[in-house]
Amino acid sequence: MLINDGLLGTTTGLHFDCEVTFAGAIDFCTEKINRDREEAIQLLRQEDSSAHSYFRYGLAHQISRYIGSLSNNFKGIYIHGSSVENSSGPASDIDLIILTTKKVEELELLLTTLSGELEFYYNQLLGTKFFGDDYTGFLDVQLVDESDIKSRRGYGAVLTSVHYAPIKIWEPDNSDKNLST
Amino acid sequence: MKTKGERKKSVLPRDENPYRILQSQLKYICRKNQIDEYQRQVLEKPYRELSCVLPIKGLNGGTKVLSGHAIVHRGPKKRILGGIIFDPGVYLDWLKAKALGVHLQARLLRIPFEFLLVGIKYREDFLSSFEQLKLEDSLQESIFSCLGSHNKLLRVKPFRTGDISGSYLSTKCLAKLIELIKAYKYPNKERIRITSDLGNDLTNGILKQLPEDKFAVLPTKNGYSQLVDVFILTEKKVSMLNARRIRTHTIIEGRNGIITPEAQLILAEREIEIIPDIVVSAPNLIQFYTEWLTHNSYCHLGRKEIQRKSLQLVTDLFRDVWSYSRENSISIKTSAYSLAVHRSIQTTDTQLKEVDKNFWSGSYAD
Repeated sequence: MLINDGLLGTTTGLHFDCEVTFAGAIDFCTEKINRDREEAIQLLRQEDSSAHSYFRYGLAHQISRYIGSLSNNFKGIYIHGSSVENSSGPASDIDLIILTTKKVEELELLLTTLSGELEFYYNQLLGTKFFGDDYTGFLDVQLVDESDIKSRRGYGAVLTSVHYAPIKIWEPDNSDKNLST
Repeated sequence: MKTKGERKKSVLPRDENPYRILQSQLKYICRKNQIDEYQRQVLEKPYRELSCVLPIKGLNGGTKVLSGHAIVHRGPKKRILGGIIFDPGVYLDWLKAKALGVHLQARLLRIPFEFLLVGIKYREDFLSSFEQLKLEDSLQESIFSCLGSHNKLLRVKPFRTGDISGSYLSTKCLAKLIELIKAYKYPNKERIRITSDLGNDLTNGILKQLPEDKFAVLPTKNGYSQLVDVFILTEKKVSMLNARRIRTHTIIEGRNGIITPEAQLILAEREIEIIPDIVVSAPNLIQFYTEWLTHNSYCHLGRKEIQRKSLQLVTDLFRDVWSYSRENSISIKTSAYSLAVHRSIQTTDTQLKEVDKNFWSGSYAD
């Protein structure tokens, strides 16, 4: 995509498109549950937990790629919770942990925006308002740095946990982990 | 047939929608400060919202039809401050963002008013001056009676350039703001370099007020390639596509210059500070406020006295935002919005009126 910004120069770059992201997540879900697209959407509407888990995992993978492209400080993005335990419901959120070298508050603002956008499209997809204005968020993202891991503080402890190990879905060397659960 | 989402997208991509950006900002601030969700919603959503079609009978007997919107944010009752914006780019979310921005700004400045903002989709050549006057009368009658207000509205210049380079007073206040940025952010620097995306057209007005020995104004065509201390963003959009290319330490954000959340992240990582529009366009609101008070014969202060008090208001505002930011180790932008939200929630209408009364030192009679 080319944008001419006059003074600010002409440049190219990535852009997050919710519709494309949702389409990709549905395709991933379709492939995993071995149904066609319409059936997959129908299963999502029928609150099927496998369909919801695969859908969320596909979504998380694409979101991670997008978030990862924004900064060189991110060292890894992990998914945990209901999406990887095959127990997601229609009102479940996506639990991500971002391992970063620098915690920047603006990332939280971006994630709040992103979460709002995802809720909007999710409500449209399912045709029901699962997430109202008072919902805490479609995305539950925790920022963790090396010091959190060393001192096993907060979600730093979750990353190194033997019993509850999150799955790494993105790392910075452009070799995205394969989509598999 | 278009779905709801498609219809919205045809107006503006969702990530560039200023109202959605502002909503996210508020949501983030409220979550960070553990403010109840219902309070955020009360703050964020307009008290009243009206969309209308206005048929205007022309001199030649024909009828021209205009469309517009009106947004009101809740404040002390029966005291409405507001304006009409005539602009070809008016649409509902744009106006909602403007109204919410002004509402938060008023709370930040502790100016006690309910805000009514009317936006009319309008091109300069569409109506004659007589027809325009007729339209304003019609607005007073129709929209105002619907919204329950009988105050006379001030006419606002289209916000395209009016936000930054407005009247004499707002220009003076903005110049003061730039001086404050220099004093707080660059205390040891003798001279700072400034440029803007509108170039000398904009800078002529504001930067003429600044002493030349302390501020170097760079022309627009060189603004991009040279490293500057302060970049005034008025019209351009800063997104993740160009955020890495801006060479500055501080961005002054005008109301029409959009900085997307992605760009904010990139700028924060590059340690570029954003002075948000809620602070930058405060001079315009002060200008509005003084005009309203004078218009309604509440204020009998002289021009110089009004100017002195307005400059004091800007100084206090910047000092508060700056110190709150440093005390809590947060960005200036987050600090300004946090203060606005706190003041909005904590201050009651009576307290607001008291602040107002004290500020104008007895010249105000309600």
